[in-house]
Amino acid sequence: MRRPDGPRLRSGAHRVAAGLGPASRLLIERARGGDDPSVEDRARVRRAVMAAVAGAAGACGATASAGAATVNGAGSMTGAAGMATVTGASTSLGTPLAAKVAAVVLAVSAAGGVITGAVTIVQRPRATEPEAQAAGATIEPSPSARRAPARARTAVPDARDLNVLAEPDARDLNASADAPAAIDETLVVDGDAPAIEPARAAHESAVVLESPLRVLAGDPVIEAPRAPATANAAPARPARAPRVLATTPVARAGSAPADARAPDAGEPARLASTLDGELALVRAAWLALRAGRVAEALVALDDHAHRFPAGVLAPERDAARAVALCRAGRSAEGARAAEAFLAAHPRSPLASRVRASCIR
Amino acid sequence: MALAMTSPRPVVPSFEEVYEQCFDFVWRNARRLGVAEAAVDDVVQEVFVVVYRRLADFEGRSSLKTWIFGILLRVVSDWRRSRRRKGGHASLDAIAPDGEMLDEKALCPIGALEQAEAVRLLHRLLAQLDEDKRAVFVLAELEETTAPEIAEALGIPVNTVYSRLRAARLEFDRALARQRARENHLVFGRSA
Repeated sequence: MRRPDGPRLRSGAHRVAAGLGPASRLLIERARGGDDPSVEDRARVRRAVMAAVAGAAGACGATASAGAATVNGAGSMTGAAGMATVTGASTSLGTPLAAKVAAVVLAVSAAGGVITGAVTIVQRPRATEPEAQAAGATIEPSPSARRAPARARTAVPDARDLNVLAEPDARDLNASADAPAAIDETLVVDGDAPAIEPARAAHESAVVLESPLRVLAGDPVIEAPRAPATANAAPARPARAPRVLATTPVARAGSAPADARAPDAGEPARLASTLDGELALVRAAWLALRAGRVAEALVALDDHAHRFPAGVLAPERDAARAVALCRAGRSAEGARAAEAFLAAHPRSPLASRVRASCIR
Repeated sequence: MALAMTSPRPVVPSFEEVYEQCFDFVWRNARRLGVAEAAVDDVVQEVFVVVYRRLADFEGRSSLKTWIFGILLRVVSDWRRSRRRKGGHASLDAIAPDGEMLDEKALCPIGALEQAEAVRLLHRLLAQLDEDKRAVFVLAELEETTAPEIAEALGIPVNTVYSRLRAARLEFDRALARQRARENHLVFGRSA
C-alpha cells in the first residue's frame, strides 16, 4: 500500500498512547467482513447502478466528460468519450424511435429468472438506417432529434425482438403460459436530456446498450442482432470504446468485424465475460424449463454450478434447480433445494416462483 | 469467449474498474456510517452515480479510496438530512428492534451468527459517536487508513484527525464497556 509522507497513524508510541482498548479491538476483529455485501447485494445493486448511470449519462449529455455509457445488463459498463447517449427502444415494427436519454430497462422476472432487457442504441448517419432497422433492436435517432432537446422517453424493448424471457410489455404476457404477470424488479430510468452532441460525434460514434441476453452463444432462440453499426464507429477514445463492443453479440454476429471486439483482458472484461457465461447457462436453463425440457435445464444448471459455484447468478441457478427438480418429479430433492433456496434468499424475486413449484 | 484479447490499460480508471474496486468498500462503510439497512442500496447507488459524473475530477488524486469516501460522506450526510426532514431517525440501528437483524442472520450458517452479532454491536457503538468522529474512526480502525489519507478524505488537518481519533477511541471503549455491563445485567435477569 502507498505510504505517504507524514506522521504514521500506527506508529508504536502513538498507538500505545491512544490505542483502542482490547475489548474494542476484539469486537472489531469479530465483526470484520460482516459488513461486506452478499453476492445478492452485489448483483442487485449492480443492476440498479448500471441503470442509474445510464440515466445519468443521458442527463449529463454533452457535458459528461466520461461520455456516454454503455450498459451491459450484466453489469459491465463502458464510457465512450464524446458521445451523448441516445436511447430508445425498438418496437417490433422496427419503427425508429429517437430519444435523448439513456433509458434502460433491466428486469428480473419471476418467470425468467434473469432478465436483462436492454436496447441497442446506435447513433450514426442516416444513410445506414436500414441496417439499423434490420437489426431489430437498434434505434436510430432521427436527425431532428439530434439537434433539439427532446423529452426523454423510456422505452421498453419488445420481447419479440430481444427474446427476453419476461418483459414489462403487456404484449408479451401471453408469450409464455406460465409467465406470471408480475415483474418483480423493473428499473426504468428516464429524464430530460440536453441537446445532443456535436454532429461529429453523431457521425463517428456508436453507443451500444447491449443486453447480454443476446450474447448467448448457441442459444437457439437468440438472433444476435447484426453489429454493423458498431463496426463503423470511430470512438474518440479507442482504449475504451472497444469495450463497448466487448458486449456485442458474438453468437451470430458474423458481420461484426473481429477487430471490433473486446481487446481488453482486464479484470472488468473478465468479469463481464464471466457474467456472460453465467447468464448464458442460467438463461438457457430457464428457457428449457419454460419449454418443459427439464433434463436439459438440469444439465445447464449443473454446468453452471460446476463452472461458477459462487457465481453472481448462483441464487438464480439454485431457484431454477429447485423448480426443475420438482418438475422432474424428484420431489424430495426438489423440496430440499427449495427449502435451502428460500432460507438463503427469502426476499428473492424468485421466491414466489420456487414456492409455487415446489411447496405443496 | 472472444473477450480475452489485450489492450493497454487506460491511465484514468474506467468507471467499471472503479466500481469493481470500490463497491464493497462503499457498501460496508455506508452501513458503518449509519445508513439504515433498507437505504444502503440507494445510498450506494447515489455514490456511484456521483462517481460516474465526476470521474474526471479524480485525475491526479492520490487515492481512489479517500476520494470515494469523501463522496460517500456527503451522500450519507444528505441522506441523514433528508431522513430528519421526514421525521425519521438518523440511524436505524438506534431504533431497530433487536430481533430484526438477528432473524435474518439466523438463517446464516453457524459462525456467521457470532459475526452478525458483532457487526450489530459495532454499528450500535458507532452510532454513539458523532459524525465527525465516526468517520475518522471508521477509516482508521476499520479500514486501516493512514492519518494523512484520512485528512485527505475528510478535508481536515492531520492533527485534527489525531485528536478526533483519540476521542473516538475513548468513546468507543467506554460505550462498549457500558454495553457489556448492560448485557450482563440482561443475561442475569433472564436466567433468574
